[in-house]
Amino acid sequence: MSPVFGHGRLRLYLLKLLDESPRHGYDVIRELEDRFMGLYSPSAGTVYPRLARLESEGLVTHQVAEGRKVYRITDAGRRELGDRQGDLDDLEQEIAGSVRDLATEIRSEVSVSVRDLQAELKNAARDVRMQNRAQAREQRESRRSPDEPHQADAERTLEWFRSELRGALRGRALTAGDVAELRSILQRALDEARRLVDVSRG
Amino acid sequence: MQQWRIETPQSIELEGVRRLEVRMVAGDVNVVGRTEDAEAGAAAVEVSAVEGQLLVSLENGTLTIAHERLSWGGLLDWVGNRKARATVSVSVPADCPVELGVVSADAVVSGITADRTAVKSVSGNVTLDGVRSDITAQTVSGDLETRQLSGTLRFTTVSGDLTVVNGASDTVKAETVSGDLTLDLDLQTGGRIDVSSVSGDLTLRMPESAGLTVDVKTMSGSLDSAFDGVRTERKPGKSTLQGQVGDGDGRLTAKTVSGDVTLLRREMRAMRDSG
Repeated sequence: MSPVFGHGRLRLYLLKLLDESPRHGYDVIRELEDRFMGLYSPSAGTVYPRLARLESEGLVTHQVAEGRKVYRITDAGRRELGDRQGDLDDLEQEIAGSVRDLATEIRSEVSVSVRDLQAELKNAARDVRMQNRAQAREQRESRRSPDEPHQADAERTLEWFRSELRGALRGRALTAGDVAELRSILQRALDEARRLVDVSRG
Repeated sequence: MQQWRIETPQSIELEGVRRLEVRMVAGDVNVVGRTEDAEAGAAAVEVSAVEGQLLVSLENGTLTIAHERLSWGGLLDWVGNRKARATVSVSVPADCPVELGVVSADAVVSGITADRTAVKSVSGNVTLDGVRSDITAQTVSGDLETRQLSGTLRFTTVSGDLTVVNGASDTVKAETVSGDLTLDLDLQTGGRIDVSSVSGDLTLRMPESAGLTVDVKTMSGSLDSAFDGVRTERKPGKSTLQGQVGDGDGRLTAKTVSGDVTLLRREMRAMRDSG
């Protein structure tokens, strides 16, 4: 998680913690959290295998007390720690100076999650809005559908009439009398259609 | 009282810090809560860049880091020297109340669990991460972005956006003119969300198991809900979104003029994926 612990430096830090006092594994994890101001939380799966490896190298040893392993640094471990004092100082300095890096990391992480969330919720909101619109439309249509299919049919009939008549008139030389006659025929048809509609409505 | 005038990059280690006040014009300010040596009030101030004089003082447990003449009360209409700039990183005990004011500086506050946290910003963006506190935040145009927030949040802004990622608050109150509110929130039992907006949109996502009594009103905004049991009623000049989600335990009240309000469900599967 933290870039602070590359190159076997967690191993070095574990030795340092055990040099301060013997601890059991859970204590070691808590200490690490504390040293990093609660910002670095190593898992048991990170810490225990490393303690086991230090033990196999003879740098730490353990005793079982109340069912728990208590780890303790050995003389070889202390020598190793002494040899690498310079590395340890660097590490501690970096830990102290890492608040700024950490904050930079937090800022960019949060900023990415914020953008992701905004995009995700915007899409989800659009889906919900479209669903709701579609539902409302369906409801409206189902409410008015009982008397309306024939309306559309009637409109199609009108379209048909208009295009038939236009076709019949196209290219014909008509006199003013013909047009007057046509008008009166259409007027009669219109009157009759109105009567039909009025009767069926009443 | 201990006091430092800082004109070049510098680090200061302190003890006995019980409270933090920061007032900065421009730059970056980072505040991190620590649990190490918290009882002793251990704190560290790292100034890594500075233009103009920065004053650091510790008096009666209050650690103050401030550009000169910038007061908490006068912050939002600051017309002074905008050149004053610094990059400041502070670690303080996690339970230390923080009062953070910035003009255009960006701020990060992380891991604070104090009773109270107060933030003011003119145009600087504020990031809160893992803060568990009663939070009061005020901005003019600065955005507020939060992750893993708990406790209560009161946010007032003109045009700043508020985004809450993985929130677990018990109260969110927000007043905005044109800022958008995007909340992904697991509202605590009996919690309240109270929003008032002119043209800012409110998008709220909650777990599908959430309990909420909803009362939303708008003049001309669109209202939509992914929860059954919440109904929209549209009339010219006033639409409402009302009803009950789950056991109706929490309360959502929102009023907007033209802002849209959308309620979304987070499915359990999605919740596991995200964390």
